[in-house]
Amino acid sequence: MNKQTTVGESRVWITALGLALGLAMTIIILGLITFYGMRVFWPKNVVTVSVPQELAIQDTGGKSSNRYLGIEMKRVEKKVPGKSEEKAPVSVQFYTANRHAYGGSFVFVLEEQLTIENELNKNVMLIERETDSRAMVLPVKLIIDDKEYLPESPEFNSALEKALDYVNDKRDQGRDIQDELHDLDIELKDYQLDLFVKKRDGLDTSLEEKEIARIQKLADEYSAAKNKLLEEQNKDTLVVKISESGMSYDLSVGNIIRYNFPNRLSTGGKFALFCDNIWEYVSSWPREANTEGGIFPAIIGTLVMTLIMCIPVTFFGVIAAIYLHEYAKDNLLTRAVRIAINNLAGVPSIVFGAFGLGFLIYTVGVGIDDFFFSDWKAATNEPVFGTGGLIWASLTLALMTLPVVIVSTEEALASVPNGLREGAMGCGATKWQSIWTIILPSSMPGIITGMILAMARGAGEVAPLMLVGVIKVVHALPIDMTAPFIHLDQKFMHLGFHIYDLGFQSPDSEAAKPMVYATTLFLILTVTSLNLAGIIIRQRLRKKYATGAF
Amino acid sequence: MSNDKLIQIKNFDFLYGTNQVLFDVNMDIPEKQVVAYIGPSGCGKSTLLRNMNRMNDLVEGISHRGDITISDKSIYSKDTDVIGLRRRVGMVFQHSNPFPKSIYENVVYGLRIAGRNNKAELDEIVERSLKSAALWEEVKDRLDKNALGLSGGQKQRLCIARTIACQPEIILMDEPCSALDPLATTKIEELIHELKKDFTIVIVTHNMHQAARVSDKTAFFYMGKLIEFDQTENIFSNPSNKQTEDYISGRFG
Repeated sequence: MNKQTTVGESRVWITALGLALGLAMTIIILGLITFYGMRVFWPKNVVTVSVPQELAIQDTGGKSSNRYLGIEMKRVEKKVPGKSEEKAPVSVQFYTANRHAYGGSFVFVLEEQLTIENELNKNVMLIERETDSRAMVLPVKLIIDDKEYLPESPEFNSALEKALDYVNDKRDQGRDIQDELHDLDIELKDYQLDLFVKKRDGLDTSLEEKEIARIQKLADEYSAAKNKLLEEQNKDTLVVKISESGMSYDLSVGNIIRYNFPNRLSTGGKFALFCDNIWEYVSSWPREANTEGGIFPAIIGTLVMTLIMCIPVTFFGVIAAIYLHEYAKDNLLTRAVRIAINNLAGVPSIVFGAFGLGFLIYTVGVGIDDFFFSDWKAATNEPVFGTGGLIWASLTLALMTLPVVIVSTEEALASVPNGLREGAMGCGATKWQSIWTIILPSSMPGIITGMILAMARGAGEVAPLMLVGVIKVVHALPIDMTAPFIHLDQKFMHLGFHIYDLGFQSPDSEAAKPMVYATTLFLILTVTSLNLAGIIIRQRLRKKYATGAF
Repeated sequence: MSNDKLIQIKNFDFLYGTNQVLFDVNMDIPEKQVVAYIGPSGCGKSTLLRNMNRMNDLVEGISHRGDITISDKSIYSKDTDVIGLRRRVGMVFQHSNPFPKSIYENVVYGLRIAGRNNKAELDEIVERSLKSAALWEEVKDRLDKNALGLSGGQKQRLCIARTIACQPEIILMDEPCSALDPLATTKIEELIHELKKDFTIVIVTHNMHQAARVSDKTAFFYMGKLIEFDQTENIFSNPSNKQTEDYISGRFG
C-alpha cells in the first residue's frame, strides 16, 4: 500500500490551528462587544409584571404595587450550593427605571412567583430627563397653561409635541445665554488679574473696578434672564404615575429630553428609534453621574488627545531614528541606547503616568506656571499648567509610544535602497539634503506605520491618563471656537477611562453594565477609524514612493 | 587645448580597515576621452572609481596613501569642498537609481539642492540634459510622471541625464549596462560616444567588448594593481603584459 504523507505536514496544521484559534478569539470578542453594545440601543417592549401581594414594591410616594411596569433583561438560574441535583429556581431581572421612586432601576423576581401579563399597555412612556434617571410611566394628564389633556384624547400627542418644541426653544436660548456668561467670565477673570497686579504694584485701579462692576452687573442680568427662561421652560406639567396603583407625581415638561411609547412602536419604528438612540449616545453629553446620556465629550477627548500625541511622538521618534540610523556610529553607546529604547517599550504604562505626574506636571508644568502665569496663580490661586491636562496626557503617551515610532522608522530607513543615498550624494547633496529630500519621503509609509501603531497603543491606554489629566466629567470640550481653539491646559474625558468609571465607579452598576459594552464598542470604533485614516494616508504615500518596503 | 592630464592618480594605495585593496596605482586620464577599467571581480577598479569623487567617504574605516588630483588640485586636501567635487565629478551607478519623484524633478535634483530654482532655466536644462541622454523624445510628454514607471534602460539614461544636468566635467560610470538588455546597452554605448564631446568619462565594465567599443584608453586591473594602461587598440590587439593577454582572451577571470 502506498501511503502518501509528506514529512512536516502535521506541523503546518499546527500553525494553521494557532492562527485559526487567534482569529476565532478576535472574532468572538468583537462579535460579543458589538452584539451587547448594540443591544443596548434596541427598544424593547414594556410588560406588566404581576406578583403576589407580599412581594409588592414600595415606592417613595408611600404606595405599594403588585402590578408594575418593567422590561425583561435576563434570566439567571439561582443554584443553591449542595443541591445541584434539583432544578434550580430561575430569577428574572426586570428593568423598572424610576430610580427616584423605587430606589433602584432593577428588580429580581423568581420566575415561579410572577406572571407577565399578555396584554401590553399601549400608554407606557419612557422618558429621558435632564435631571434624574429615566422614567417609565403611565401618563395621567398633561397640563398646558391651565388646559388639561387626557392621554386618551386625540390632541394629547400633538400638545405634548408642541410643549416640547417650546421647551427646546427655551433651551436653545438658555444655551446662548450660557455662552455669553462664559465669555463674560473670561473677560472678568482678565480684569480681576489686572486689578490684582495693579493693586499689588500700588497703581490706580479705578478703571478695572469700573469694568468689573459693569461685567458683574451684566452677568447678573444674564443670570436673571436665564432663571426667567428656566421658569418659562418649566411652566407645563405632565402628571404621571409609575404603575396603575403606584404613586403619581408631576413631571415638568421642561425636564423632558426625549420620550417614546415603546409598546406602540412597529418594527420600522423600533429601527428608527434604534438609530436615534445610537445617535443620541454618540452626540450628547453624559448626565446623572455618567449613567445616563451619551459619550460625546469622551469621544472628542480621545480623538483630540490621540491626534495631539501623534505630533510629538512622530517628530521626536523620527529625528531620533534618523540620528541612530544615519549618523550614529555602531559602537557601544549606540547599542546601549538601542537597548534602552527597546526596554522603554516594555515599561508598564502606569510608570509613565507617574513620570508624567512627577516630572511633566509637578516640575515642568509648575515651572511654566511660576514663570509665565505667576500673576494669574497669585490672583486666582488656580494652576494653569501645573495640574493634569491635555498637553501632559498627550506628552506622557507620546513618551510611552516613542519606541514604537523609533523602531519602525529605523526599519523604514533601512529599507530605503542604498543606491538612492549614493545617487543623491552623487548629485552633490549633503547628507542632510539627501535625508530630507530623498530618504525621508521614501520612508514615509514606514513612519506612518509607526504612527498607526503608536496611536493604537496610545488611544487605548487608561492607567497613565488617570494621573495626568483625565477626569470623570467635563463641562467644556478641549477644542472649541474661542482662541486658542485647542485648550492644552484643560482636563478631558476619555473613552477608556469612561469604561472604567461606568464599570467600577458607578452608583448603579447594573444600569451601567450595558453602557460599558456600548462604550467599549465606541472605543474600538474610534481607534479603528483613527487607524483606518492612517492606513489610507499610507496607501497613498506608498503609491507615490514605490521603493519603500513598507 | 585639451589637457591630457586632467586626472592624475599618484602612487595611490587604498585600504578598507586593514585590508588593502589598491596598490600603488599611477595613471593620467586625459580630458574628453573615455577610459575603461577592466579586470576580474574584486580587482579594485570600482573602488578606484568611487575614490575619484570621494564616494567611498560614506564607508567607515577607510584610509588611503598617495593622491588623486583633478586639474592639478588634490581632491584630498583639507580645503577640498567634497560637495563641489561631487558636482564636478558626476556618477552613474550599476543599478539605475532614479528618485521616487517625477522625471522632471529627477533631472533638476542636483540643481534644486544647489539652490537653483529659476523655472525657465530649469526647463531649459531639463530639455538639454534629456536630449543629451537621448531620452527626450520618449519622455517629453510625461515629464511630470513618476520616474519609477520607466523601463530599465530609460531609468539608466535618466540617471545619466540627471548627472549631465549638474554640468560636471567628469562622469564616472560604474558598470552602467550590467543590468540592461542588449538593446538598451547599445543605446547607452551610443550615448557615451556622444557625451565624449563634452565630458571626460571613466567607465568600469565587465564586458570587454564594451570596453573595446566605447573607450579610447583601457586600464587592466588585477588584485588591486594596475597591470596595464594603454590605448584601447593596443590593449586588445597587442597587450604588452601576459596577464592582460590571458584575461582578454578569456583564460581566467
